[in-house]
Amino acid sequence: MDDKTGHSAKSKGSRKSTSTRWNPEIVVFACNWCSYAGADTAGVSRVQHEPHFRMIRVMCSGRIQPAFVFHAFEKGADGVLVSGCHIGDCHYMFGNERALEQFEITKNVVRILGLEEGRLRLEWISAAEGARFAKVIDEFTKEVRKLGPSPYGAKNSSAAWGKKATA
Amino acid sequence: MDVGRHPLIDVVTNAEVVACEGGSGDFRVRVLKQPRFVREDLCVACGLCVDTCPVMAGNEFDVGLKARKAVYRPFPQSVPAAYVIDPEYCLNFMGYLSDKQKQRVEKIRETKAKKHQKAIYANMLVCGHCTKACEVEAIDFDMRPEEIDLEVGAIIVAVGFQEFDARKLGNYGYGRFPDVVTSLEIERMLNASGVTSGHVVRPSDMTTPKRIVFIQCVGARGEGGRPYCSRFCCMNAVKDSMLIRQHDPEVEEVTILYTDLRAFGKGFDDFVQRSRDEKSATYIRGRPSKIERGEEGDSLLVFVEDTLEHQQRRIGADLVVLSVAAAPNDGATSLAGLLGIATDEYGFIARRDAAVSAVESTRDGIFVCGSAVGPQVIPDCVAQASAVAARAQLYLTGHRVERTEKPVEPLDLAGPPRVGVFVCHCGVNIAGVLDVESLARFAASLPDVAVATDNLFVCSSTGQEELVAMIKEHRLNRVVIAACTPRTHEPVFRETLARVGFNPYLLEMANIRDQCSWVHAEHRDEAQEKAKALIRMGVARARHLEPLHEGELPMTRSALVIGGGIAGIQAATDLAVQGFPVALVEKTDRLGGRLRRPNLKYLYPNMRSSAEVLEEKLKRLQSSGARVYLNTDIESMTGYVGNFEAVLKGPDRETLRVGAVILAFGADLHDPAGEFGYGTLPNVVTSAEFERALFENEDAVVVNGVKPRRVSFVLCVGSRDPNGFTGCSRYCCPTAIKQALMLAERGIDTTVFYRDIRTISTGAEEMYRKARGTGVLFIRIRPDRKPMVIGEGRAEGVRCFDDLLGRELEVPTDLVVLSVGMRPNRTDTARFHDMLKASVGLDGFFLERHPELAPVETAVEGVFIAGTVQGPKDIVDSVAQASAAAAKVSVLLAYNTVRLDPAVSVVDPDRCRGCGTCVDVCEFHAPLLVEKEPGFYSAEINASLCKGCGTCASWCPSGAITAKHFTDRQVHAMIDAFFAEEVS
Repeated sequence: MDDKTGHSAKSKGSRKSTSTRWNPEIVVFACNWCSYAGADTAGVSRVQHEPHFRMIRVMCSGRIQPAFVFHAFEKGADGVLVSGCHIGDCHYMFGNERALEQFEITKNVVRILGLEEGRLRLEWISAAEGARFAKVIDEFTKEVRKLGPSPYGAKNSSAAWGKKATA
Repeated sequence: MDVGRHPLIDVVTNAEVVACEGGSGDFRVRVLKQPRFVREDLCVACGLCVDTCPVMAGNEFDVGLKARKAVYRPFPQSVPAAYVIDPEYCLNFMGYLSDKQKQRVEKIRETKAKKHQKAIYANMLVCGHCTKACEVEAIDFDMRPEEIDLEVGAIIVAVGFQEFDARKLGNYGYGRFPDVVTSLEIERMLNASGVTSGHVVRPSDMTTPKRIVFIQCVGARGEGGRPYCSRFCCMNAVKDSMLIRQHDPEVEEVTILYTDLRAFGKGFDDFVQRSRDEKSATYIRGRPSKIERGEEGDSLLVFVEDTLEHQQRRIGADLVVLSVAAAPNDGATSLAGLLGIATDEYGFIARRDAAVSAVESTRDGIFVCGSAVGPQVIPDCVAQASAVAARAQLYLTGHRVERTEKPVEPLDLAGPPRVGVFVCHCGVNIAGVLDVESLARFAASLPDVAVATDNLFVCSSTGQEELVAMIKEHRLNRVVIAACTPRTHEPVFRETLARVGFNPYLLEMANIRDQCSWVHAEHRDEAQEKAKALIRMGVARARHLEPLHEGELPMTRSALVIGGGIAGIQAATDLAVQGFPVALVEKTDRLGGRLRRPNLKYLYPNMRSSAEVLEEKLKRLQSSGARVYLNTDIESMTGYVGNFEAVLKGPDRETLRVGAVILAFGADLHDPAGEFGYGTLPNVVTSAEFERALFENEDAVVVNGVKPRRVSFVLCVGSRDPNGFTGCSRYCCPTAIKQALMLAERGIDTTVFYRDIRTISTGAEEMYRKARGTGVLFIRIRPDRKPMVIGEGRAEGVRCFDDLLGRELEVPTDLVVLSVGMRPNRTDTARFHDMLKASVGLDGFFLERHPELAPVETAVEGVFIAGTVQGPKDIVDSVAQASAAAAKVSVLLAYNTVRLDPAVSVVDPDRCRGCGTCVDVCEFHAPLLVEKEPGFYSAEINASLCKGCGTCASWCPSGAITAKHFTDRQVHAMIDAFFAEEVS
């Protein structure tokens, strides 16, 4: 890491311990108008939060179909967060209610697949709720950590232990 | 940058106005443009000249903290992007030549000029390094001052401000102590591309200061003879304290010495509270008397009285930041003289009427915006800037230009994906946390990536030029920009791509700033991993992106303004005078809102009669051609930009078709029922009721039958309340002081109980000083110890804890006036939110798309907000926003068509089995079942109704619907990429 900001580069040796610690891999599906914007608001306000998630942006939470969630778990996701606008506030009026309906189906199948309930979560986060977005991420990360690696994830060694952290 | 490349905007730099004749609609202005000695049309901003220049000078942009050369670029994102040579330092200027040399050069010049040859050759110059180094021959020492004559219909003055010269306050030691800096200097330090790459240092020894002290109001509120408030300094210091904490954990203490904490704007108080919660700074109320050198080594001592703790303090500091006030620009007075407009007593450009003019100067056709008129915060500057655009248009009628687009030859984008990845440093916003070069190398290693590079600011003009150059050089047909959120710059990048024939929908952005470097700064390794994953996912999506083409719809060239208060009246007038049909809809039987009788009698700061002001505005409205509907409400509204349909319900029912809507229906006032005895004690009234009482009697002040001899004002009632509205209502301090001053001038004993005095509007601070001078008593109270109204059956006194005195007091009173805050009009806000989907903020007011970039726009295209419907503000600000909204609407209405977003959903008829699920789930009635053959149905989606949400695509049981630009394949590819093996 270069020295621009005056912080000294960490030596590779001291990073070894952090790289062997298991960190959950969480997929967050977010709608453009509310939850993705909420994550941006957290950014603008520099509200720090856990980094072990990646966002996939769609226009509306109604776009988030069960197949997306299943695919994420199939690939070894330890947690999946589906997020959108608050009920009544959907940019497309009721897309989030559709999302809620589909989510019930998704939840059922995920349960049948043998995944713990805490691995799948639905949250409504508005564009203004930067701090809340960060809080949800932190809480969800903590919960998924407690559950450990996904039973489907263990097969995917790159997603679990021993991954080399390259700079 | 948008300004720089707009075909209708001519940017003339290094220039000033030297003469102005004529009048509104027909000004003849002479501009003198000083030579740059660098050809703007040739310079590519490569910087080679700088490397060879031997002369060092002080860098003005970095306020002397950094050096530059005689040839330089003023600042990283300057427009035009060309460099400039400073004749004061460059060795080639006559001053450096001997007389004999000067004669020789002049003779050569003459001879060459006769032959029309370039007179100065590099080997004849005293120093020709830059000329030799420049590969495009852009350096030209032959350039001479140029006179440009312009014929214009309107003039806009936006000359800004300069810093108050802190050297005038000798006791603060600026100029003597190197570690006393100004707020602008610390901004340059905190800035990514500034002197120290975002790191705060002591200028004396370049170490990190452990203790930083901010001193507010330097050069304002009385110091140096300037009584006005500089408005932005309080918030700026709070913001700096938070930034410093983030950037430099070695800083141990930040102290802010303030008098009143003026967090008056939307979200400002919440921000200050956050600062207090995060302990980013210690707040001490006091104005220091002097700064001296400390005992130990180089530290400084700030002598100040902590007025709330009643202690004399000597605060040790390693760095002192003076929050210097904005002062009028040196040249403003002479410019004003040339233009024939007035300046105020300080030298700022004067507004025509301080009570109501937002952007008008004292001369017709000449407008002013931003800090040229006095210190402003950015959202207000931007609103004013848009407002002048609306006003100036009146003088430009007959010159409307149709949108001319040169057809661009589309690039050949066929074939397998060739992805170009551009990783942005964004100064140190990204580069300070992530290793950007390494990300670029990683991106280059991904399959299908033809080239990957990093750039300081991809959004800058040079960054974008490089983007285009790389596309052409590497024949890219997909672009991934790893930078900020697409919600900021995707439209800018899309436009750049479209201009060169690259389909703008083949762009993907990976958000490694707002959603990575900004929020995972404490986990750099993980942030780096995340950025890599985001880039990998971005490339994965890019492979599956398809070129899409915009459709067009007709634009209904008329507007609807909802709300007949001052904002609505202004917006409707501004649009109607341009010739657009405008409907102004007002629920009650009269226009004027809070300005009409009996709500407001006099307007601060100049005590103009509200009735007079309203009459003027109404006259203009009447002659503008706007159609006014009284006693009318909007029953329902559907549609989208260019095609709204509103059903008006009034004495008649009417359906209007409009292209844009402005929401300007104002706000409510807080009802203090149960507070301070309001509702039970007859002589406790609100500020609004007090104002109304003034209409009843011309000579005396009589309220509820009481002729008071002693009046108490309680401020912040219903504002700054952690259990209610947490923000500041902005209008109450000046209103209360206006009312108090009126009473004091009649010899009535007046006391004002306040938390902070926030006299923000033009002239309000001066009104405050006058009130104090007239004997109004100001008692500072603590938010956790509210004053209590005491008395039997009526208010007889106010008991409080005087924070400055440190004692409990009881002030006898005949009348208590509660300065009530503003509240969102929840019912109407909810209704219009439902109809139009414009977002509402957490505070209940409509949410602007962006506080700085788009203060009057909502996230919904075609729907705008103006006035108190967006948040508490006073008349001048409401008028500014109204004109700004009108300006934005006129941009839409200027064209016959509105462009359609092509990212809509499409049905594949071969897969569709006509089940009708899509019809069921769509709120916008876009899909329709069409009978293809007798008995066989297939769905078709109306592209002009489809909003592109993709819900139908996720519900279709046959998988027949593709949500363009957010296809299943793209999402699945991103999920795969998330978990892909690392490629190093």
